[in-house]
Amino acid sequence: MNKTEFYAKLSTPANDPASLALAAIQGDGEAGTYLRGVYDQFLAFSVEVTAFSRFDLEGTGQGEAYFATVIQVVGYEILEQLLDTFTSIINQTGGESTLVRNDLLRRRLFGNERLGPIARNIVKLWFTGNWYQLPRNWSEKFGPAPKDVTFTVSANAYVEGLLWTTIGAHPAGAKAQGYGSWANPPRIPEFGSDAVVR
Amino acid sequence: MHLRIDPTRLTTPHEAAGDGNYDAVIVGSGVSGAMIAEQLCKEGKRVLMLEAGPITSKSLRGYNDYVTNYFVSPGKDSQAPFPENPNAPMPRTPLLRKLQPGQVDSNTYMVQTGPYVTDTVYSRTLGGTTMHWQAKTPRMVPEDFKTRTLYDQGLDWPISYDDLEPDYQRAEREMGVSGDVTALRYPGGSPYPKDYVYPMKGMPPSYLDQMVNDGIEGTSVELDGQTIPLQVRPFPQARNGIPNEAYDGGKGYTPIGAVNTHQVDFGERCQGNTNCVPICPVQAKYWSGKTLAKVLRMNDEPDKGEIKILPQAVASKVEINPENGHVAGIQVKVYKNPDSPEHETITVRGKIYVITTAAIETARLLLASGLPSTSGLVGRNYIDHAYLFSWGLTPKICGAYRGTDCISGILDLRNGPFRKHQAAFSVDINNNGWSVATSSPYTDVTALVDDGNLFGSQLRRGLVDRVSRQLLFAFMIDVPANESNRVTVDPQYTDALGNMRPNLSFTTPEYSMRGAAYARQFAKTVFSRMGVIDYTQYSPSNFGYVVYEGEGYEIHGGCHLGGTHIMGTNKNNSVVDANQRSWDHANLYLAGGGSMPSIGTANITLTIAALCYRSTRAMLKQLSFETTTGATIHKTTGYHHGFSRHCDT
Ligand SMILES: Cc1cc2nc3c(=O)[nH]c(=O)nc-3n(C[C@H](O)[C@H](O)[C@H](O)COP(=O)(O)OP(=O)(O)OC[C@H]3O[C@@H](n4cnc5c(N)ncnc54)[C@H](O)[C@@H]3O)c2cc1C
Ligand code: SF4
Repeated sequence: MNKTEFYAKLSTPANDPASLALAAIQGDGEAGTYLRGVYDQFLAFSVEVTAFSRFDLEGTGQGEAYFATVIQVVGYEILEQLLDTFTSIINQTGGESTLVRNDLLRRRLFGNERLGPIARNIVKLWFTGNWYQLPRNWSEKFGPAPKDVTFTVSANAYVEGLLWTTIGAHPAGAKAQGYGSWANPPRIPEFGSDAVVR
Repeated sequence: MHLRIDPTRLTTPHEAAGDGNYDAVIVGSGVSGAMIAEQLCKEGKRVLMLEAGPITSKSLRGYNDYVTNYFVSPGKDSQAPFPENPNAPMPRTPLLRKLQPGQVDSNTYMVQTGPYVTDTVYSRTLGGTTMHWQAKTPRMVPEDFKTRTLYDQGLDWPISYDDLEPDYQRAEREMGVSGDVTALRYPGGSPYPKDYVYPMKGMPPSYLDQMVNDGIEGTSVELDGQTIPLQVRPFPQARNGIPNEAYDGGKGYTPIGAVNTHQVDFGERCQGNTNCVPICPVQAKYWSGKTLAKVLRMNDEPDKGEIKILPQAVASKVEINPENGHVAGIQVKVYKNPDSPEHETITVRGKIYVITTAAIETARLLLASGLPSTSGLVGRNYIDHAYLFSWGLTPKICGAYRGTDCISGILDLRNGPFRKHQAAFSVDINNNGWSVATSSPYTDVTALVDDGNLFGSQLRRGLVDRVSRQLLFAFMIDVPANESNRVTVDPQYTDALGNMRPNLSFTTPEYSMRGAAYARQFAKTVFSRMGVIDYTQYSPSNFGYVVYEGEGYEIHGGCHLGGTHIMGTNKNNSVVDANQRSWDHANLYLAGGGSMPSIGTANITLTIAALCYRSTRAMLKQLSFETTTGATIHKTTGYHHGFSRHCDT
């Protein structure tokens, strides 16, 4: 499966996007190497914007599904543009502080009319498992994206939402913390102010 | 225990219509239907149970499908687990909109004729509304039974707290209530017998509960010249905690399960899934499937009766014998597929008929059947609690979104002489943050990311700050019976099967709005004692927006449906007697919240359940009386197909 085939297959409704993405990323040959590279960038970006480590993100098991979701809804070109922009920011700010990097991320990525809403949606995907419908003015200008409606990626995606970990709670209806645990203060995980960027 | 509905327990339309030997036809499989079936089968009776919805939750897989439906619904409203079913629809909140004066909204199943729009819901599926109730089980207080006499408000019951007390105990046993009686003994509270303990020990109060208590314990409020000391008290609740070895004179209590026998799958101890509404993933929470499982087991015991369940069977018309007013049969529309209106219509018969479809649907069915009513009160006096929310951020992290949806509250304003002037209320301290008011925490994520432009560690810090400090008080305000709050039907509004839909017209009376206004003040007082930053905002575009004395409030429905077939002392002032037996139709029982002439400030289900025990005693008496004198009745009615067959054999 080459890159174009993979992207085409992703837009076929019958295919399960997450397993397709997984297969493609693990695939042999040039396409496999290429997609692994893109996915790697996707994870690096996700680490930066969620402040969760790559270990934590991979631990959710949702990376491939989110990667596939973004491509399915808005297409790969825009995702690649976003990731390339991100990589160039990182390259440019190699030795600098988070403050400097965040400034650039804001100016060139989150503040970019085309890429900003997608970047924010990737953040929301990780925290909630939901794809949120893009702002109307985005669709008018850069759309239409027929699959762009608000939806939960999967039951597991909901359960793995990072929001719950962030606040030391658990997704309503899953990963319960045990009888009586609620009587104690929450255990809110520590995180560094600098995200780990590879 | 297993709610394995053996195929032999499910009946077919053909079989149900042809079988004239049922002692009772019960409509509905909610807690009322299940508890009545259990009591009747225990005494050897034969029961036919009609359930309008599908019986998905009968298996663990079906039950889990409901949980998954909820997980994949981005809106996560309280009906999210239950798929749309045009043949037996249910009200759904996300579709509601505000009404202008004189407008009618028929876009949702329950036609809202105003002036207020209510977001009250109930479910039509196996298990009824206990599938997604929150399972708080307070008792009413004695004064709630005589509000007309004491406060000149609403209506009195024909029975007292003391009359119902032993049945409260039975209901608490059946539901396996966890609770701490010592914390609930206070002036104005429900009196418990000396030495009484609940089947299970009280749930430990949440960290947030403790924080609120730290803020208010030792303080008081002044109301109507009365000083009311404040304290946080845990609610009794129907979910598995730690069995109390002191229960039942030291015999203890064993929890019961429902859809599977595996320890991990059936009725576990509550783990704090914070998802009691709309569905508990581990069945720690009582739902009527637990009682049905018991009934189904009785089928194998020689001295017990039996139950047959007819699923996807919508009771559509109650047929009356015009000679004596007795119910002659119930017309039922049975469909195969929720997506197709195709159905067959049958008539089922029994000696007695018990309608347990909850206040709105029961009134709907009676009115759609065109039943004569001496009092003219069918559908009138619809009651529901008015809910008002107040929310803010605690000064320190309070650990929201953990524990059961709600464990404790402030109960001291449930009762007192002030009830002459303004409605009493009970206060819930919600453990699920602001979710009921603002759809938090999702709206917090979108707000911080889209509007706050946060990402990375700033976002994480923002979320902790914004979500882990969420406190919400839900005020459950008493609404007295009022004839103009009512359910009606109208032939222009029907569902896919052609059944008339319920129309609801509802106003929150001034008495309750006075309670609401005080509730808002009360929240501000407590917030100031705790140092909570108030974030409460009521939007004029919200469907429940009400202006009272120049201030706006959002009033929400309570899902505590009462009063559409109230009980009373005679056939002119009520629809049913103190045993929930219809005054006009001697073999008809209307069991459920609809019989309650007042609901006070108690979530109503425990009282509904207690009434089931009372009613079943009356049913058994009636059945045994009719068995001995059956021949006469048989002769005079000629209609009692089921009954006559029974006598002939
Ligand atoms: C979100 C929510 C939270 C709640 N929390 C609490 C709480 O904490 N404490 C509390 O006490 N109460 C609570 N309640 C209320 C509680 O759920 C109800 O009072 C209780 O479940 C009513 O039981 P019931 O058996 O009388 O009626 P239901 O449970 O509504 O059962 C009615 C049954 O009849 C069936 N039916 C309806 N129409 C027909 C027909 N035409 N033909 C055949 N069958 C039909 C339905 O499918 C259903 O099975 C809550 C309710 C909601 C919605
Ligand atoms: S807190 Fe969780 S485990 Fe406990 S009853 Fe509610 S949903 Fe069930």
